[in-house]
Amino acid sequence: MVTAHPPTVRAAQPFRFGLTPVFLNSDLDLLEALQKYLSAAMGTEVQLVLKRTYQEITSQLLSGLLDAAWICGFPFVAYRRELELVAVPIWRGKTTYQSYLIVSEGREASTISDLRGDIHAFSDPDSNSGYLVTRALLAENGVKPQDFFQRTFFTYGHRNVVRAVAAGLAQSGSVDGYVWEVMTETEAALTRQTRPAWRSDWMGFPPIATARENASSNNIARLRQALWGMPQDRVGREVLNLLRLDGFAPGDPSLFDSIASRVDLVRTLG
Amino acid sequence: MKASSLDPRRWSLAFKAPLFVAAFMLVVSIVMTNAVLSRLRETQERHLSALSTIYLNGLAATLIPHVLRDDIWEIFDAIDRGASLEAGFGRATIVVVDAKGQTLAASVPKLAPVLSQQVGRDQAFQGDSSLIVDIDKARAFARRSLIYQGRRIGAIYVDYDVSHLLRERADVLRTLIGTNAAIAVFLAAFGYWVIRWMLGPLRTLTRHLDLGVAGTVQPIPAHAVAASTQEFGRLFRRFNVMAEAVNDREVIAKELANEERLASLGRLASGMAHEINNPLGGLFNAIDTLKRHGDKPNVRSSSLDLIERGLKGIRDVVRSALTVYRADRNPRNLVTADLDDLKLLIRPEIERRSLRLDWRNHLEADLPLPASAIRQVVLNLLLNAIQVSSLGSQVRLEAAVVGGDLVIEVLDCGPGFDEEARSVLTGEADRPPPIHSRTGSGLGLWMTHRLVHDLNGRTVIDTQLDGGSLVRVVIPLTPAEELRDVA
Repeated sequence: MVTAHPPTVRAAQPFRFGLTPVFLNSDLDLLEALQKYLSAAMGTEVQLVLKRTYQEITSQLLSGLLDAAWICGFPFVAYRRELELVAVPIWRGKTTYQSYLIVSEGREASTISDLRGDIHAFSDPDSNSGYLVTRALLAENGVKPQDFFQRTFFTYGHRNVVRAVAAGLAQSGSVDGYVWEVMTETEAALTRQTRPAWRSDWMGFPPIATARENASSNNIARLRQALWGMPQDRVGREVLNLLRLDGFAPGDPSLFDSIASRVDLVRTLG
Repeated sequence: MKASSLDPRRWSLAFKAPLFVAAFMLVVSIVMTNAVLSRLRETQERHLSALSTIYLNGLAATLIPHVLRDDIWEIFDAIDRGASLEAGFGRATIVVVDAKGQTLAASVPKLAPVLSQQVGRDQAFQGDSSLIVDIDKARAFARRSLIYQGRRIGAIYVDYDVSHLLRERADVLRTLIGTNAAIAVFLAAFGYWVIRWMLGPLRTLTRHLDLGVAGTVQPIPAHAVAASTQEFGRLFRRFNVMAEAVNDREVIAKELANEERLASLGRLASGMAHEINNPLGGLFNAIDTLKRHGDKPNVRSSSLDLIERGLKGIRDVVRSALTVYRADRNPRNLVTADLDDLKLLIRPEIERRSLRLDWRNHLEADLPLPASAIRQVVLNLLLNAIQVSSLGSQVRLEAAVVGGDLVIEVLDCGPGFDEEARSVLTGEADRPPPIHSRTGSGLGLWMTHRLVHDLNGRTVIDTQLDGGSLVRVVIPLTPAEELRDVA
């Protein structure tokens, strides 16, 4: 059979799935389980591609170097026309999450105005929860982060924001509420040194997206099926357990409308 | 503790030599320990400096790109991972600053917050030095400039925990002290043993000299002489020659003392002969009278009376002489009459020198003392007193029991004792018997001293205000054996 039908070029290419450490805690156990599950569920070899920033992942996704990627709501909204939604994770029964402003444990602070003059840690300039939410909050007051804070820096990882605030390198940080909550279970010693001072409203959970022209391919259909069927599989449940997620839903682009309005706000007010 | 034991000059050699060794070891230990510790300190600091340079070079290579970009997080991430050092250094504290001395990141940000000024850190370093070791805080402080394309873009300050190096020094110090103390104790013990072994012959000599004080001097046995070193062998042989001479001298002295006694006996015998001769004329006269007028009852009665008195006098004199010179054959306790008999013996001498004899014998009961020895002592003292007293003066004897002692005093009116006679009689110095003496009484006094000494008594000589001497002999009545042990 193999000799009768030589493999096509397309079939020889593995399915490339992009992830960033912004979101994931580079957990090798998780990566191994996810790769194993997707390969088996999709019936094709899946290659996990790790990049440091959302920007790298987004540009590779747009240029077709990646077949699909787990990105953030902010780049999804920003490149709404070029991207297509594949699936949205379900966390605690919902497809939404919050952004937290965290400060060190014991510090009195409940609004962003309490954080004026801080050294502030963001996670990624293309992250919704780790940058855009705080940026929009300041824009509402007509200020920019570099004017409001004494100094800001990017850690390119939500976990790193928690580390920076816990160690005292930053006095406050913008972090993904889901990541912070998961860390209270997995790294309680670290999160115990911090506390959320402010929580945003609920926004669409960072989705899995693909390039629009690729959206109708078989591989994407198989990826959708694999993600939706995750809770029914033993390895899939292992992956979900490591991620503390319930499963994946088809999702609706309107989930990200609140993020889109923040993008607009920031563009308007600078 | 005697006062002399506080004077180091009088300490035993067997103690002084090990002490000297121990003191010497102490000095050597201090010098050695200082040398070793200072070398160790140099080595440790050299190693620490090398290690620090390597470590900081590695850290700088990692940090320079991040410092160029002011990437606070990457700097922190790098130094947070790099702060955990191996090889006992514990956790280092690292601070990275920019060219203006403002903190970019610190491994413990709470101690050095981002943007805080760290200019003060440079002031602790002198000149170009890059390492300071603070012993009190058990920490080492290092710095390194971050140079990129010939320009200084920042600096790294690291502060290491070096308590393990200080512990190592303390361990070495403990080991040195322990080892040196063990060596010092061993050498001191060895020194003690060696000195004791070397001074062994001296102890032998001392023992023999001690024995000699009590009686005859014991020569050191030939095997001990043969076993000793050359120096001590010669000393031992000299000692043996001396011991022989002393013993000979002792024998001669005894013989002379005996002869002296015989001489005084002769003198007494001639006195006695005179004593006997006196009544003899009267007796012959009485016998003559009896021959011629024996038929007259009153003449016969008075003549026989005269004869009887004369013979009684002769009998008393002969009895006294017999008692004195029957010495030691039949030892018995002293009775009052033993002293009173002496009065008869010395009477001829008293009369010859026209002296008055004041006789105060207060003894009453028997005394548990050997009669012949006491009589010999008293006779010698009386004869000496008679000899030195000027013609027509007085000699007094007083004997009594005072407390638990027999006290005998002999008072003369002579010129007093000269120093030599005094020391011979009282035994002030352990000295050999005087072989020659100007007065000839030396041996008598020496014999008196020996007799009193044997009875555990003592002799005191008082010089009287009007000239003359009072010799007081005190002899305890307690059995002699107990006292001899104490003495």
